[in-house]
Amino acid sequence: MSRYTLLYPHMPDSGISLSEECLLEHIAAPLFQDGVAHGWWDVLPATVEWPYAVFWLAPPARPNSPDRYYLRVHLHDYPNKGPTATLWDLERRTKLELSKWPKGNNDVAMVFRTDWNNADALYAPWDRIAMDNHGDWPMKHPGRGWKPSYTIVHYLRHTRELLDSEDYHGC
Amino acid sequence: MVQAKRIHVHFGGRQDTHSCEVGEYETVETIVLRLIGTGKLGDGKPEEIFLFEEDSDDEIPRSEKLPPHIKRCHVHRCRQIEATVIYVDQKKAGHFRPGTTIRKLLKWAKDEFKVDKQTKFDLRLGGPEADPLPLDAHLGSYVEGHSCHVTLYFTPTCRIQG
Repeated sequence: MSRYTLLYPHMPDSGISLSEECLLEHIAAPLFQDGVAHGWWDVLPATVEWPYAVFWLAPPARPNSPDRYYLRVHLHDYPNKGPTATLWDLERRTKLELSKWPKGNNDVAMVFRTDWNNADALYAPWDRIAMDNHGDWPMKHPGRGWKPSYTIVHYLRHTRELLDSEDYHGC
Repeated sequence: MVQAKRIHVHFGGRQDTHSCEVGEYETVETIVLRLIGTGKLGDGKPEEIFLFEEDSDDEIPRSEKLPPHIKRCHVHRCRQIEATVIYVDQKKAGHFRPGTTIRKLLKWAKDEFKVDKQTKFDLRLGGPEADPLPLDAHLGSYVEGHSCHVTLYFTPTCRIQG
């Protein structure tokens, strides 16, 4: 049974799951829409094929950097369980070619590593699969792991802040 | 033809922002009155509300037009906020405009505590293990009402290891 209740109680839509309804509500909420207004991220509504949805993030300008990275996010049992995502090629509808993943130093190199888990998830404390595989991460990275009270903004914000650092060099 | 532009406004004590159109000839006074009308600032007199450009050290006078380059600003009841930053057993305090970003405050804290510039740090509210504050957030968003003071925790960020 879900521990999550909708922010704005209403009759649930019988056509979609509570998880999807939560996501739609979080996308409409001010914190997500702030990022949209600033040009930091957005969802591509046509790509929502539950439990998957594609979001884009705008990285800062760097040589060889695209205008956008697309994340295909797996949202099973959202928000009780956290999201996990891989970089996505929107045109080819497949995982982004590994040579096109973000490059950089320190945490950028680690989070976007392509030699772990078949590059099916970001190697980040805010990614469900990565966190589930590292029992010591909750203590090492307080405040970065998922809590059911968070929204998709948590995942997008931490990924974007990483790209918006000097450690990001393009792709 | 009157040119309008869109600005993003952060409010004191709130984490969400408000986007609105601002006319070319609109003064700060009229913008503030409109923002009070959103109800996001609570009760209070218009003359007790001040508008700041993000990361600027200057208050924008009420009688002036909003400078055309401004896209992000902050409205708050405090002209300045005293931030006390705690790092292990050390404590430093500074005064900042409410529109100061957490990113700018982090740079200040790194200088004050003379820590290694290559090490990443976070600022947290409520305790050293609370959620790290977003870098693009404004300091004033974490200060409600008239208190004009906040305590933050400065903590090193653990690098992600393979």
